[in-house]
Amino acid sequence: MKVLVVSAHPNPESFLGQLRTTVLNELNDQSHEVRHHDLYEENFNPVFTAFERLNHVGNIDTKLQKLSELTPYVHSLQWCDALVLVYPTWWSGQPAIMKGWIDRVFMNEVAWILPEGEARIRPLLTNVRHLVVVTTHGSSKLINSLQGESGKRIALRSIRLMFHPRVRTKWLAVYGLDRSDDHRRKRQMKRVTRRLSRVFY
Amino acid sequence: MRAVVVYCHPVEGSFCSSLRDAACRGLENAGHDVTVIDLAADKFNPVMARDEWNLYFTSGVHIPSDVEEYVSKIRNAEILVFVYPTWWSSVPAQLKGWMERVLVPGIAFTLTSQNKLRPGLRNLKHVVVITTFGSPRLYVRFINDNGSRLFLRCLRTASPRLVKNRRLVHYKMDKSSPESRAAFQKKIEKRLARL
Repeated sequence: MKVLVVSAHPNPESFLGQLRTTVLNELNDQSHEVRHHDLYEENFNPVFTAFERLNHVGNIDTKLQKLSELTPYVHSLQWCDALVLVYPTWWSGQPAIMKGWIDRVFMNEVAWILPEGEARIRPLLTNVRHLVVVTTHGSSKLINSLQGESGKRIALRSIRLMFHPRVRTKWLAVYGLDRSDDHRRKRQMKRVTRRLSRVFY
Repeated sequence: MRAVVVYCHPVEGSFCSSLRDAACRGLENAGHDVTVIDLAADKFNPVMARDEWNLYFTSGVHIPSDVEEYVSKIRNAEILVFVYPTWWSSVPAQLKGWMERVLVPGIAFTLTSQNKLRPGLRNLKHVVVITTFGSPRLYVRFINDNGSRLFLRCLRTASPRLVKNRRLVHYKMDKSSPESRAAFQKKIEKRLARL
């Protein structure tokens, strides 16, 4: 299976950095074809520009000529069968760099089109049949539920609708990281790996 | 009261910028002291750097020089107004990054020795979210309005219990008419003048 991993964390030595390495190793062990973009390492700029707003709807090739830095991400998205997002949850959602990646890359004629005369948009990334989110939360599951888990809903509802209609989604989240010690973290890491190994079968 | 309007849209002259102006007019009519933070015009960098993250949970307050000005503004604010377009059911990345970099421990909240959260913005009395959706209401109800949740729920942990929240939204921007837009601007002006 062709798997695209998109990760974001400023410090590769953090728990999430280790989690990212584990995820990549696990996918390689399963002999999937893996492509990986780390948004921090690639210095991705998440700010949606005025040019993009003004050319919101329009031919993709002419747009990408101006936005050449987005081309590799667009191609990777169109290539993959499975999308794996790896990020820490900050203020209940994706870090700005990843939210910006969604804002900028899931554009018209890549993620969706609005056919003329129709009222509803049509998804274009129907090649994506698996969506996996690996994320860490500092606070507990209870606090996150009260806050509304907005990151979960952005991933599993909002962008999910741009994928294959029967896309299978998996939410592999670690909660309560602020209060967990090394021993517990190891267990949490193992649990994510174990669950990940079952996703693509 | 001192009001801070945080505005985020890449294009000046857009409908969103007219909503910002309507909000300012409303607040000024009520005699509030208004400051605008325009993230696009300030070319605000929303990406939290590695050093900043490393210092995040260490003791003491660490504020990078490019956000100092914002911190001093919100520390004095009694009214916070957010004006932004909703993209992918949430706030634009620039505004999300503003939240991550400005509302840090020691400013927006403090963690006690038992890792319990205590509010930091004790000056805050009102939080207002003004936003626009391309989609109709039903669709937004299904996906959830994840943008205003950030301010109306997550920011709650950072503000005193009695803070009052307001949410003013325009659905179906794709099919909006000049009348519906003008009506929304009027509504904003009127509601904010009542604060």
